[in-house]
Amino acid sequence: MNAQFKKGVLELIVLESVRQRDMYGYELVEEVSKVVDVNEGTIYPLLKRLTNERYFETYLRESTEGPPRKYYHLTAAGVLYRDKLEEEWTEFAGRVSRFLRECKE
Amino acid sequence: MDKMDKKTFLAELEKNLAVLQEDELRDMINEYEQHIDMKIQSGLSEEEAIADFGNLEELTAEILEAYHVRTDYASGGRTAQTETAGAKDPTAGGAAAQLREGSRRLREGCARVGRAFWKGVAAAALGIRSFLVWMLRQLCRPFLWARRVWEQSRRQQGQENGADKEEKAASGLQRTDGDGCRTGGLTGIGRKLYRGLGACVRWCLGAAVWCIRAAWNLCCAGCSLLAVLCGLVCLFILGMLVVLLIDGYPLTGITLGCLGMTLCTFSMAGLWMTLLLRGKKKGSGQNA
Repeated sequence: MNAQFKKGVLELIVLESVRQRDMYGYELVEEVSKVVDVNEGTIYPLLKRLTNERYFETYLRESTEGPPRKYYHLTAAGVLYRDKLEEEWTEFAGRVSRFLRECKE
Repeated sequence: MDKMDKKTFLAELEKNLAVLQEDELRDMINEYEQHIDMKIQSGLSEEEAIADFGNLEELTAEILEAYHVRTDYASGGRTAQTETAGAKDPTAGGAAAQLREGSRRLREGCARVGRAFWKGVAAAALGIRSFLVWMLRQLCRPFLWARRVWEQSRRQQGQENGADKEEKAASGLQRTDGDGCRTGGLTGIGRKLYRGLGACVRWCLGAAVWCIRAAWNLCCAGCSLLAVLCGLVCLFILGMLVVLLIDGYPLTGITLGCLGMTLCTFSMAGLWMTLLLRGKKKGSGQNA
């Protein structure tokens, strides 16, 4: 899949995944990988950015194996941002597919 | 480059991200370290786990982008880069220096705005105070005028009385019969009556002034109490809003508005309090 396509929707996928339930980094990478094939390293900078912009907040929770894990939680601002992104995406995807349909006809 | 173990990968990453603050850097390194550990747990080798991250340079660039840092800055390590950048072009002394400079300028700007704001507030308060004092003077003017007229008329009366007395004394010298005595007694009663009336009027005036002052003070105290109550309510709401804001709710506007309301109500309370004190001083001045 085109890398530029991925970059745009990655944010939306990450936000939606965390909205379902709080997740830690590795878990989130696996979740996102189910939807789009993405370089694992790039999720962390994205998480960092979204945290810096206060769409996520983080907390540590002990795990049975290994050190405590950093969980990400979607804030109210994050929910608003997610909704906005989804709206944009739906409109964008709708327009593009409508255009392609029209061209075929 | 492709075959790298965990230690070298993390060391490389740390070197490339040296521009970041210590705790942010630790945070990032920890995330990647944990990720690699979990990959190894799931059955991959160290090299495979790290190879999944792709090109290290690109990865670093992406991380730095998340921090809004110029990606070409950090790629050579901090110290070497700043030196060369400084030597090459003094205006572009590195992103970190620019950031520092920016924050310093911002701080100075904020301080300047704050100082100007307080100066403005002080000037406005002074203006309002002098205006109110002027208003009070204007309000008191009729009373003062009435008093002056009253005093003047009394003085004139006194002079006339004095003149009367002198005349009577002169006539008493000429006429030694009881007539003079009788007329003198009559004027004495009149004077007593007159004096009593004057005292009564003066007492009435004093009472009126006292009543006005008391009413004014009561009004001031009531207003300031009300303002303080409103201020406390605002403060409470502000506290809640701040907590929500820190939680990440988009309430900046409302919070700022509430802060303004709080400051406004408290300053209103302060204003009424000062008016209260002024009223007392004014009253004592009038009494003296």
